[in-house]
Amino acid sequence: MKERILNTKNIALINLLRRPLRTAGILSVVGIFAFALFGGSFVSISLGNGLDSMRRRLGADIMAVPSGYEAYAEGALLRGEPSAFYFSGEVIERVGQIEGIDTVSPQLYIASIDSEHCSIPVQLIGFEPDTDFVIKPWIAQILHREVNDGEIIAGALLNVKPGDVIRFFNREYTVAAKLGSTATGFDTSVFINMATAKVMLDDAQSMGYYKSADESGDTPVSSLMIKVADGEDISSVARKIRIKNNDIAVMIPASLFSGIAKNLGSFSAYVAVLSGLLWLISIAVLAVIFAVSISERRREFSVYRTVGGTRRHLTSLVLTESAFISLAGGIAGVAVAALIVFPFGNYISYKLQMPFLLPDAWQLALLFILSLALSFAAGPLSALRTAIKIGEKEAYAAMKEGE
Amino acid sequence: MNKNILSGALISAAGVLIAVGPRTLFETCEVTGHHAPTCAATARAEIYVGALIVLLGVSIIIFRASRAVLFLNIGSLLAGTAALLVPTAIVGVCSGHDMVCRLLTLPALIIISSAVIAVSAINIVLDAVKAAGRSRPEGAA
Repeated sequence: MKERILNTKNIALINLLRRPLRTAGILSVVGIFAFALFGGSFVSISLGNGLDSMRRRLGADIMAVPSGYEAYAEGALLRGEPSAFYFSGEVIERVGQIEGIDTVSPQLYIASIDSEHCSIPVQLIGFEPDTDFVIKPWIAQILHREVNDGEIIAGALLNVKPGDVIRFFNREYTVAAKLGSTATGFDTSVFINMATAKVMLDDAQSMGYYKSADESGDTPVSSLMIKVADGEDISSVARKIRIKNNDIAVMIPASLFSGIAKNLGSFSAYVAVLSGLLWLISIAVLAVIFAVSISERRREFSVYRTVGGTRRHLTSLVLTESAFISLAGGIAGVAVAALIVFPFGNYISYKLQMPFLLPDAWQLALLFILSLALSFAAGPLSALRTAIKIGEKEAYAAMKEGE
Repeated sequence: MNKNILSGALISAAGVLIAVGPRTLFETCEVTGHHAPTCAATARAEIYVGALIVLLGVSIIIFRASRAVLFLNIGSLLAGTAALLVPTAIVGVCSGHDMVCRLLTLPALIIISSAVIAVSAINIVLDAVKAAGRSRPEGAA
């Protein structure tokens, strides 16, 4: 038989392993709290990261799209749903003349088709390098040069890598770079300069797709990204655009975000309140369980006193048992929560219809430490009063109590 | 509780989830109304693999005291590996990043089949250690 030193730590472990069901029950109380805290906070942080990322990416003050196509534009931006809608290119100059506007940059959306003509079904977004202020700064972080004609920039979720050649409408294009994750529809989009986009649209139209009703000959555009001049009110400028142009619908990205931000705020508040309540309930429940359990073990503790254990030893033993249980429960709760939120994070985002971007390493480490620390504290805190009272009775009296 | 009863119950439960999960709890695209031959084929294949895992789990419980348990655990480890490979390598799921089979079914099957592999592997190791201890001569240090 393996010899074991009978110190406080080992006695505590033996006591816990001797009563596995009781230990598992107490452990599960702490585990549930740790699960709720880590899991809820993880989702909350990820949703917050997604919202921040979306704010950074959709940098325009106002977005103008053809009237009636607002829902399609929102789907393309937020969820990467391939869309293709157009109005005449002369709208650029028409909108540019409105007072209060600093910059107007057109974008052209093309949806690749799910057939042998295109390698992958994605949203293709053409941007004008001379005027763009939304996409270029972001691409510049990865690609330190202009995007050449015939090149594409792939979103994070596309299964391609730089150097790959992929086909759209029977023409081949080279992947110049792949962007980082943004938790927006851009992750499943492909970015091309306007010259490439015009060629691609011509190819698509020659195959019978995306025929424009406009006979003016101007290259169509899908949306206008508008930056409002300093000091101008965004809503006022949007109203002017709407009044002067019946064929244009105006979207203010900040309004899109405010709805999402409000939902996120409610969710985060709910997580914080629930976690706080669970922590308090855990401590209360554990306090009752420890009090009852230790009361049942008074003869056992009397024996410890009889063979030389001091009151301090008993207090230390009870606190050590509670610390072991709460540490194990915390680790188990965090592990189960991680097993759910990491693999199913994208599904959570899909169901909530909110952008979701995983926490970075620092956020994750902080969350892990906080969850464990609070879980660990619950045990000794709840057992403290009972642990202090444990040695108050004389050993003989405690042993004979109830006889 | 006997180790083999617990592990057999866990493996059986995992087998049930692998067999019926893709049609119920973590449904594939076909169940949600999309035409999706790939993940539908995965769901069909997992019914057979899951049923095999259930059979092995129940057998571990029934023959828990027999030496056959080691071979049953090896069998469940192989079956768990098959359950893992069906959606990831052999058949696969839909390619679209926002398809429900990729978001829900695939991670669920990966986690559950990994659990089957882990439990079986732990059992095999514990049984091997126990067998080695039994074969050591009595009185040896």
